[in-house]
Amino acid sequence: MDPVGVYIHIPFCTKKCNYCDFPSYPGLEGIFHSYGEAVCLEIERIASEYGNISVQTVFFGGGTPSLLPVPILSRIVNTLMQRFRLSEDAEITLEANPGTVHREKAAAWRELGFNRISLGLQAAQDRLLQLMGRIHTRKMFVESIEILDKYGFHNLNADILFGVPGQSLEDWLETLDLLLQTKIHHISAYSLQIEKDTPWFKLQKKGELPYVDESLEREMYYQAIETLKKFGFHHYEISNFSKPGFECRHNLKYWTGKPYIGVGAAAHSFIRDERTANITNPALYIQKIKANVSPMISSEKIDPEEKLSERLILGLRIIDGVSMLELEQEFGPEALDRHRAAIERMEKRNLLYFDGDMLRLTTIGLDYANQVWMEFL
Amino acid sequence: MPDTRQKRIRNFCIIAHIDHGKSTLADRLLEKTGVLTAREMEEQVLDTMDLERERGITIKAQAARLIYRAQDGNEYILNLIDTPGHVDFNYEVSRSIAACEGAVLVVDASQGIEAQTLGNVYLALEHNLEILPVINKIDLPGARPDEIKQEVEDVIGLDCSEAPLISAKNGVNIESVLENIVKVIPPPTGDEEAPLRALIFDSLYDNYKGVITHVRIMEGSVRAGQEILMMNTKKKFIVTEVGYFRPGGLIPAETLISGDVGFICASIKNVQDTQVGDTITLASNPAKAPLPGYKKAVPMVFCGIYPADGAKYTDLRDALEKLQLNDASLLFEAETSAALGFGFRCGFLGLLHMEIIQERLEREFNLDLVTTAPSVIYRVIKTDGEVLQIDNPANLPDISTIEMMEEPLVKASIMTPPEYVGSIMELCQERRGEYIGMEYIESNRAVLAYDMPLNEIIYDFFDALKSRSKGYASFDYELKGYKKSELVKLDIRLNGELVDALSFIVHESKAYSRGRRMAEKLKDTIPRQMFEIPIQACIGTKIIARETVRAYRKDVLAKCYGGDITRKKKLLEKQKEGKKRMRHVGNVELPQEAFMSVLKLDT
Repeated sequence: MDPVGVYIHIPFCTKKCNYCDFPSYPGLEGIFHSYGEAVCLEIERIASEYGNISVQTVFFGGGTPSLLPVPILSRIVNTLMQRFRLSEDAEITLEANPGTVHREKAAAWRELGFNRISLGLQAAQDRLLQLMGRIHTRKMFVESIEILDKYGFHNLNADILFGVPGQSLEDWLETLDLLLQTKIHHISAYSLQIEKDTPWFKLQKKGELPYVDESLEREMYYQAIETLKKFGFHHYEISNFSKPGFECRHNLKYWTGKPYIGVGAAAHSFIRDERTANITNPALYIQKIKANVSPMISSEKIDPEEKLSERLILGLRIIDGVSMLELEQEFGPEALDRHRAAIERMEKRNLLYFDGDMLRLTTIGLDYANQVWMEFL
Repeated sequence: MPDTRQKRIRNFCIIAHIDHGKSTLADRLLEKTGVLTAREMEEQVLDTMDLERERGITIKAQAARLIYRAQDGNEYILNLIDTPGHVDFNYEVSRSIAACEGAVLVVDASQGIEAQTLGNVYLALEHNLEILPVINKIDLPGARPDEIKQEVEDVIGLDCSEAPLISAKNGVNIESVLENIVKVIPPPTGDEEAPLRALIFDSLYDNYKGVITHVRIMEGSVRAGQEILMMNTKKKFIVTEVGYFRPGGLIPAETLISGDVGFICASIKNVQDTQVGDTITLASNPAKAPLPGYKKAVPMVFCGIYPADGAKYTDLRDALEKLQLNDASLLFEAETSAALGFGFRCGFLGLLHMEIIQERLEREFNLDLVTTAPSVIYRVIKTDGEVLQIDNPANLPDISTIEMMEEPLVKASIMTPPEYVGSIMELCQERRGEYIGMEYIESNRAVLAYDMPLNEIIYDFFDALKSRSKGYASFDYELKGYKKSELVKLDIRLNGELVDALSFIVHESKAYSRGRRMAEKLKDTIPRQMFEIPIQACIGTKIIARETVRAYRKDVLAKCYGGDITRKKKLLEKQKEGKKRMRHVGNVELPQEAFMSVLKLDT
């Protein structure tokens, strides 16, 4: 089997952010331990099903994985290393909230084998951080970077948001500026979507959330691309930038149709042409695992046609595009022919273009990618 | 003895306002006469179509033969002829009435008489029908039977002292209705020996028998094997079968004789050959003259009907053909639109008829439709003397070749409580109505008479009337004729491209306000797209209103990782579904509602 990526979901946080619709819950400290045990059991379940899998990337996402006490984290990492074959140069990422980073933890994380930390900064203004419901300040972020650097982390990511209600262009440029002054190798810059069932969605419905001008939001995106490029960041995915060689290898697996295994509540897997999802509720997840029942709640077989369509959609997220030659070799020319008319239409609308055999989104296409993706469904 | 035969026949119809209980009473009469067992009894047998049931109206006249043993010990044949209940089918109602000697007038014990009912009562009186008033729904808390009786006496001048007080729903006093039908309504008296004259009051297409013609034999008789002649359409057929109606089916008979209500089958393939109101006679021994009152059904309202999915064009054609088998007044012919592709220009008796057909197409044939705003037939006199009938605004010739234009005018009567007279008169003025007069039919009901251009009614007049009278006003109209008028064609351009299906013809004085509202409405209906879309309302090359749909700046899912893929695909699929339903005009995506937006400019 191809080497896989492993995603481990930690559905806990100190406090829910106002825009967050991820499966993450505050106030569950009481089940941290049993959750950790359940995750270890699930890893064993998977190992006994698939054998000794070779793993290239591991990603602890959340929630706030950095909230987990080191012994629990350690149990999970050790189980992983025992049951799977981690490659020498495996990328092992931990998502961390700047409000949870201390010297002791940083040292322990490094010790455990983590080599990449992804910090949720979101914005450089305490005023905005507070509005968003974040638990940290700008200062805590700066200190976190210093600590992590000092303890040997030389592959750091920061998540930032633009198009945030109340955020000015100056705020945004200041956020970018802060990152350019710190030892950051990777930046995920997301356009904020107000998702259903979040406090901000409700506020927006009541008309109480500041209006975000679409032109301003796009301006922020263009400025980010330009500024980051100037400082040596490679824009490699719609929302992702990195110094050369610091692309997130785990996330690239998602966009290039490679297999990955999700462990934990609400985790998703894509392996052997099947997409599966685990139960969302962490307590029920623990229960199922303890009862030796599969935590999977849905599975979907992806046929070649669908797989090709996903490869086109996901592949176009990557700025360098998707290799039509590779797709043709993998799926056959007839399968690809079905999409040719759509590609031509999108070329005419100036949303797609070819660079050699690489099909790419144009600059306009980056703003209207849904219009392109719809064509490949 | 021939006389005795006819003396035991009563031919009658039921006149009632929508939801005053006509169908329920018909059911009870059928039950009491034992034509159906309780088990066979389907609720509201006469309303066979779901749609009619839902709307509480009947579209097609039908009939049923009831056998009733009266208190005098004799067995009577009661022929109940059902009448359609709406202004659009006025002519069909008049033919059903002409087939009867009497009418049961059902009046709601709390609501009293409504405008439409009154119209039909006058129609019945014109045909010398004996009217039997019945007060229904006496069991309801708001019932005030004595007042209502008085109202019927005051308004129509009918003696109501003997009027049965009933509850059709609960089966109260149904017997007295039957007794009164026998006692009050006169039997038919036609000459059995005279040449055949049979009045067609409805027809129904059947896959096996062809057209089943519904007739009332006024004089003479008819049997299978005879050659019949349609006196107005001049078509001839050989009779294959005659008989009577029973609920849900037919009863074959040897002959139909003067006084009978029944059916004639003659391998007729097309309902157009059996026009309602025509007279059937025998080819070998024809009557001297047809029965009076025949009118050819004339569609007055037209609109374009297109399949939402272009591939369903033939399905739509098949569906229209099927509906036309039973509806001689539905017209359609193929047309094409640059915006909507292949479809049909359809003609209807009126707005309700149009709505019913649209709904039946969508419901019974499972078609997704795009319909254009309704139009009337304009008469265009060209400078070279040629006269054109224009039912599609897109076909209007170049303005420089037009000498003058005429539009259809209707006589409208509006019944309303007096407190709304002011605002309704205002509405009628706004719609270019010419005030004819006002009458109080009683202290709390006024009837306003106006001459109005039909094209002012076909947009949203019903809705406007209802909203200005809190739903109390009712409305009736008939075609009066044509009148010279200053009309212009208003075009809509999207991103510079003319959208033919959005063009409409409007009075000069209304062009600016309509153009402006139309542009505003379209601005709200058209979703933002990747580029800015100018909306222009124009008369010829002159732009009279302009709006802009701003471009959206982004349409991209910012984030997509492992767990999101299925969800994000679903979002894209939903978006694609919405896009698929769009029409394309040049590079503009136009939602289907946009084509109907011209309809609702006032609301």
